[in-house]
Parts: sequence; structure tokens; C-alpha cells
Amino acid sequence: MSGPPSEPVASETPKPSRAWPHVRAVLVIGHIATLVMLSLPGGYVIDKRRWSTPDNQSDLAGWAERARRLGYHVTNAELEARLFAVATAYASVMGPASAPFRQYAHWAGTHQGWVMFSSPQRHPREIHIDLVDAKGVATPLYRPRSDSASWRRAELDHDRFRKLSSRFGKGVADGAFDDVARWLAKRALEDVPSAARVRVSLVRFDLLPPERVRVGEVPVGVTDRMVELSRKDLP
Amino acid sequence: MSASAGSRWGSIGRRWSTWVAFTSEKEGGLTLALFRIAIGVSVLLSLTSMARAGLVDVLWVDASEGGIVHLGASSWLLAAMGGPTHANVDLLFWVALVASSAFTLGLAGRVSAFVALQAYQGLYSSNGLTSHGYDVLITNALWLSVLGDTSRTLSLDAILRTRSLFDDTLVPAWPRRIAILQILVVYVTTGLQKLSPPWTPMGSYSALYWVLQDPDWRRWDGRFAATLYPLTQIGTAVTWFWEVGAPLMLIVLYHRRTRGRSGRIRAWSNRWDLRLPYLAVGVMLHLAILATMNVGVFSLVAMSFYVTFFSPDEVAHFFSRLADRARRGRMANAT
Repeated sequence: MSGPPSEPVASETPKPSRAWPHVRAVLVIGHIATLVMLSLPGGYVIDKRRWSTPDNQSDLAGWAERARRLGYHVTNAELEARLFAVATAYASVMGPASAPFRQYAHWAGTHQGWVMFSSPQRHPREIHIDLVDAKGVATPLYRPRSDSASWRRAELDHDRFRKLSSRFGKGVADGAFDDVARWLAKRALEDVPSAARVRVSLVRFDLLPPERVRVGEVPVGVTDRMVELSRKDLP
Repeated sequence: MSASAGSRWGSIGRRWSTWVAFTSEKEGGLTLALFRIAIGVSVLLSLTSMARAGLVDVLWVDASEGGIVHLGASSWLLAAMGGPTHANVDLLFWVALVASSAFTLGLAGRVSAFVALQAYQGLYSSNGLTSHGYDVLITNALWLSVLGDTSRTLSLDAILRTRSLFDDTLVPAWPRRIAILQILVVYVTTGLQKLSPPWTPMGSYSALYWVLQDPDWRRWDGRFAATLYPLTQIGTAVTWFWEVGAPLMLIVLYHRRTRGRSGRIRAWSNRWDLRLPYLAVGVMLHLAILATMNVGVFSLVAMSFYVTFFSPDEVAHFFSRLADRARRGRMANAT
């Protein structure tokens, strides 16, 4: 879309007697300062739950290994402790410094924060839903991206539901799991009147590197959280 | 006052005057109008996809009223309304839908932008577990549309005011420039936070491969990425350098603005229109995201900002060239 140079076509010449252009110039600086300040990493840098996820632990191990190869002897735990101290110091400065900007963002809707795929999930958790009969035999009702176990797929495959699932993977939504499980179990029992019980699980996978995927291996999940509910559990 | 102090104050005064003049500049409203339409469509897609999936009352309403999790009210509006109840969420949803439709059409410009912004923010922020970066980018764009004059032209407001779809009245240029800054800050800050080894040579630039394996985001079976692994490595490296290199675009834009000044680097960067390759890479990355991942309207929202890199004259020139080409094509066919 090239063309003539992108020069402005007109300009108001600010006059000393007119305050508005100066006020506007100050407000624009305020907006830019908000944009920049709130785009910097926030309080989540000292969220211990994030530090302890398998992905972040793996990242720390990777950096510690690199440091050791470069002759800087540090254990994984030492590196984590040092980085956490730096993060704590950073957060203690950034918290108060960004407070006024957060107020503006709260009222105007100009929140920032652009952590996107900063540490790709290599150990995601999936939500699995199974119907369980009286003998305890489970039948898959829902598996992510599955064509055979595709109950309520329009809802559960929506990007916002995926976001919720990814929060479980990052370990920052575990407190909400019981709520989610109850809601899913209740809907499943409504939709499948013959079902006696519903099992909702969080299943952790270790994703496989390309060479193992190419030879046909598939990741094996391990259930690390599970709730089983019957009709009498769900008023 | 010493001579050096006086000179320093004089220099600060000149710089301030330059800044005031810069933020006072005006230009045609065409670029901001296109930005408005693109953002408006993105908001509508985001809202309607929630309604189509039947998730409005599931994800945005509190568990006490049938929602999936217990929620608070992080937006001031929803808090003032009494929290994420069924009735409040449904009301906000319809208000957001009507206001964003009006905003897209350019009706009651700033008011519809403000109402759409507050209603949309009330909705998505009620459940922080399901909100996306694109929600925040949308509300930032809507706030710029409250501050700027995005419905001056190509709008129902223009038709009502002038009986023409187009209105040549000039609008403040700074909101368009803030929009450029906004998207560049998004890219550079997301790039700088990609410190995980898979984004680096230490992790063999494997990040995109892992992202495409992630069941939370992949659109298709991710096994194809194993076959195309070298391509994902190139994509990872390009993505990281492209994101972290975003501030260079500010220098490019500054050089374009000051093209009359001397300087070897300025002359070199002005030999080509470097915005085009930068944005072309962005479009390719976002199209690849759209094709392979389900991250909602993120790519559409991000690419909506791209039009703001071009002045209204450039946009008008582009469309007139397109129209000329179409006319010549029709004439050639006729003969």
C-alpha cells in the first residue's frame, strides 16, 4: 500500500494563549506511559504456582544447564532462588510504580499485558469426561479435539473454554476445578439420563519431540486430578 | 539564570513545542474509519461466537446462577450493576452487541465506542480464567476510538451530517499514531517475554512445534508439525526476531516523517517502504495462526491495527489505484 509519503495534511499551530493543545499533549504522554508501564511484566512474575509448573521447571533446568556449560556453576534450585529474588525486587518496584496507571486502565479499559506463548506447554493437561456405569466401567464422553468423544463440542472446543483448560495446564486455575467438574457432570447427567455417574479428570501429558511423533508414538496421559459425581451429589 | 541553563530551558521549550505541534496535527479520517470497521467486526465476531456456542451464560455468569465457576466482578461497571448475575450478563451482552454494531456502522461514534468498550469489558473481565489477550487489545482499540474521531467518514454519522458517506473534515492524527505504538508494544513485549529455551537456539527453536502439539490451541491434529519440523523452527526464529524487532518500525516511521533531513541511515531506510515487508511478515504469521490454531479473533484484531500504519492519503491512493485497475480491466474485457 505504498504511495505518497505519510505526511500530515494540516497542523494547528499551538498558541501560548490556548491551553488545550498543551493539556492534550500531556494527556497523550500519560496514555503512552500507561501503555508502556502496564505492558511490562506485572505481579505474576512472583506467582509461585507459575514457577512450579513442569514447563517452567524445565525452562529453569535448561538455563541452568547452559550456565554450567559456560562455566558458571549453579544448581537448578540456586538459579531459581536467584531469579526469584530478582523477580521479587522487580515486583516490589513495579507494583507501586504502576499503581496510578492501573487506575486509568481500570476506568478506561486500557489494560495491557502481552504474555503469549512465552513458555510453550510441553506438559499440558486435558479435561476428560467419562460416563461410569454401575460396574465402574468408564465410557469416554468428551476428549479434546476427538471426533468420537465429542459431547458438547461447540462449547468445549471454543477458544474461551480452551483458555480455561490451558489455565489448568499452567497450574493457575486448580481452585476452579471443582466448580468446573460439577458443572460438566451436571450437564452430562442431564444430557445422558441413563448415566449413573460422571467422572471429570485432568490428564497430564508429556508431549513428544518430533522424532518420536514421526515414528508413530503418541503421548500417554496420566490422570492427576479426578472427580466422580452421581446424581445425588448434584442438587 | 546562566547562559547554559537558559539554553537548556530553550531546548526543552522547543522540544515541547514540537511535541504539542505533533499531537495537534490533523489528517483525513479514512484510516481511522477502516480501523473502526475492522475492530467493530472483530468485536461482533467475538460476541456472536460466544452466543453461537451457548457460552455467554456459562462462562460469564457466576456459578450461583448456573455459570461454570464462581466469579467476581473486575470491571467497575459490572461491580456497580451487582456482579455477574444472569440478568446483568444478558443485559451487558445485548448492550455490547447493539453498541458494537452501531460502532461498526459509525453511528454515534464516540458514544457507541464507549458503550461497546464498557459492556465488552464488563463481560470478558468477569471471568479472568477465560479472557484472552485479544479482549484487551479490543478494549484498547475501542478506547482509542472514544478519544479519536473514527466515525468522521465512511459512517452513518457522515451520512446523517453531510448526506454523503465520505466527509473530508480533518480529524486528530495522534490516535492513529497511538494505535501504531500499541500494536508495536504488543509485539515487542510479547517477544521479550519469550525467554523460554524453545524460543532460542538452546531449545532448537522448537517453540512453534510445541505450540502446534498443544491440545489447548491446535486447530488440527498436530502430527503434521513433526513432518514439517524444520519449517516450524524457521517460523519460531522469524516470529521471535520479528516481534523483538518491532521498535525498529518506530525508527522507520520517524525516518519517513523526517525524510527531508540528512543522514545515511535515514536515506538508506527511506530507499524502500520498509513498512511493507514488516507488515507482510505479520500478515503471514497471523494467517498461519488462523490456519493452524484456535485463538479466537486474535489475528483479526491484531491485523486491524495494520491499517493505521498508512496515512489516509496512502489509503485513498491505494483504493483509487485498485479502482483504476478494475476499470481498465473492464474496458479491456469490453474491447
